[in-house]
Amino acid sequence: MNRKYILASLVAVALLVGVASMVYLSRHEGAVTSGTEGAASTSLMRSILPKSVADKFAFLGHDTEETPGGGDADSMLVDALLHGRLEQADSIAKALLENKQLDKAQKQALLLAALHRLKGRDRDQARILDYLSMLSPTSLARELAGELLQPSNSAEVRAAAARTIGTAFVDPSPNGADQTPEARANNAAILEALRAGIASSDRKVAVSSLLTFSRIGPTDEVTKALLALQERQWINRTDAVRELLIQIPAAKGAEEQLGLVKTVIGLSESAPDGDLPASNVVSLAASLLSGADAVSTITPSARRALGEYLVKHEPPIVDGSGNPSVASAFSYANWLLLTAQLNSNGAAEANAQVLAALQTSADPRRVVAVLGSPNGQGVAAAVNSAELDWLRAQVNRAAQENQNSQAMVALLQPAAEAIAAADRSRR
Amino acid sequence: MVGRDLAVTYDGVAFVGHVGVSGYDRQEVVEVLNEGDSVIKINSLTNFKGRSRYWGARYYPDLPNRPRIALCNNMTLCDKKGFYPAPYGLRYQAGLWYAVQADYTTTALYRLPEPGYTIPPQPWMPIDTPPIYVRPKRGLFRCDTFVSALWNTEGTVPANELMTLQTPVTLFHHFTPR
Repeated sequence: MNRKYILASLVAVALLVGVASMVYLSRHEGAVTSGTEGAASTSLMRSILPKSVADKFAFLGHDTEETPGGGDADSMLVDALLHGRLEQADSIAKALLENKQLDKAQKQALLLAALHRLKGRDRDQARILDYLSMLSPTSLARELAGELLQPSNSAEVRAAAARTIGTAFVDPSPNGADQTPEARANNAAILEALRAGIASSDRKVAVSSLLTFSRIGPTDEVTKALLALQERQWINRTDAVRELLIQIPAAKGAEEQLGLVKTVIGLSESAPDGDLPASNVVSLAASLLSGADAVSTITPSARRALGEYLVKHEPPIVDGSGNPSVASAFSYANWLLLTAQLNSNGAAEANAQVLAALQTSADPRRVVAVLGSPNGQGVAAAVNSAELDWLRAQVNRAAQENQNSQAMVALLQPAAEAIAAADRSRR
Repeated sequence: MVGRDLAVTYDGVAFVGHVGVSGYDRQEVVEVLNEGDSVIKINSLTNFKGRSRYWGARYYPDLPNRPRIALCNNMTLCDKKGFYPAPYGLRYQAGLWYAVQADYTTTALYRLPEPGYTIPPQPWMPIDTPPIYVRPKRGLFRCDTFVSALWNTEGTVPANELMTLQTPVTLFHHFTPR
């Protein structure tokens, strides 16, 4: 009886050791090719052992068939990618990211394991890095910095690491999460890795690093790097202008802001034909800055310089076909509002300038574009009774004259509502 | 939405098709292309049609009847939300995302571009600390996830009609021909 028991125990232990070795090897050696075998062997072992016993052995993971985003997600991801099953890989990654049984650190560890096991398969590694970026992998800053800086990695992997590392940066927050020693060290490592990336001799790595650095790095350094890479023609003028405009509210002081605006204008005015139409600069500035609070982040000298530039580049209310489009309507409305805000002191003066501009042009489509915009109610609320009547008449006229314009039809209702709201507030 | 052929082979697996968003005026297309460093593009519809076999346009029939969409007035601070009719609002949203831009991914997962924001001085900060400004964030898109994420703005096209879709071809054919 005892002999039989001992024999059975020995067989069970041998079986466990054998499978454990297979699992270990699948995770640590010849990583890429053995991923499927590892997953298969853990499944085999689970099918042999009672669940209560299998659950005691963490290395066996979970049943991969039932939980595609669970503890074996790394093996399943590797397997799917090795077989070119990209949609399946996306599904596994999505399930993993949404898995409520695993915490963020466990998810990061699984994706990092998959990343390492796919070494040498650039596109698959870039894919894993994109998955990782969905997690904002703050504790992987150093690992990602390693991928970005590793010269033996392909440009594709290094560029993907550069954009993913930006999502690991801990932004300033009211609870001071960015001020812990760990967060400060990680953030410093991220910025340092990106600086090295920007200095890369590979264009793709340098630009990806710069466009990430541009949203988190010190503004003066960002500006210098943007101009250097633009001069080398590694980034185009539109990208440079966009990033420079984005620095304005983050810049330290009036002098730096004015310098940014002058640089934007310089890039615009020196652009060869077709390289950077002024309408692009206007459209970017309007989408980024059109709003009272946004404008209030700009110091007076920079406001004046940008305001003077915008006045010279009024966008047409119609598009290339001669009709108002949705895009041309909002471009015009945002331009007019931003120009007025930049060239005035306070909301009342800005609204008065908007009204004056509309009255000068006497084009009812412009009135509809402005009143139908998110700032339309503010404009309507700021005028006196006679001016409100004039706006109403313009909207009615536009309704009669533009029944075939989808853009105008879409905007007439909010424009009429802006007038009605102003009417109500008067009573 | 407009679509066309795009024959891309990725490790031997054909990833075919490309979609973008065209306004009702059908003059321009906002699309995500794996070209250049900032991948949200605004091109003419003529340009879109000229690059490969054009599939035609599809639309979401209920779009004009959908609720107004609350959108940022700008991407520096998003300091005031406006309510837009859906057809106008989606194009406006596309313009805001264009201004902040995105990177390209070959995956079906995506991240939206985000507006910047300001953190007011906190009690634990040194006295006279100025407000801290956090810059806007780039998004991450493939051509079809850009279109579906845009249509899903504020739930305009319900998520359950979009999220199970994986490729440009399935997304395109899911909607109604014009």
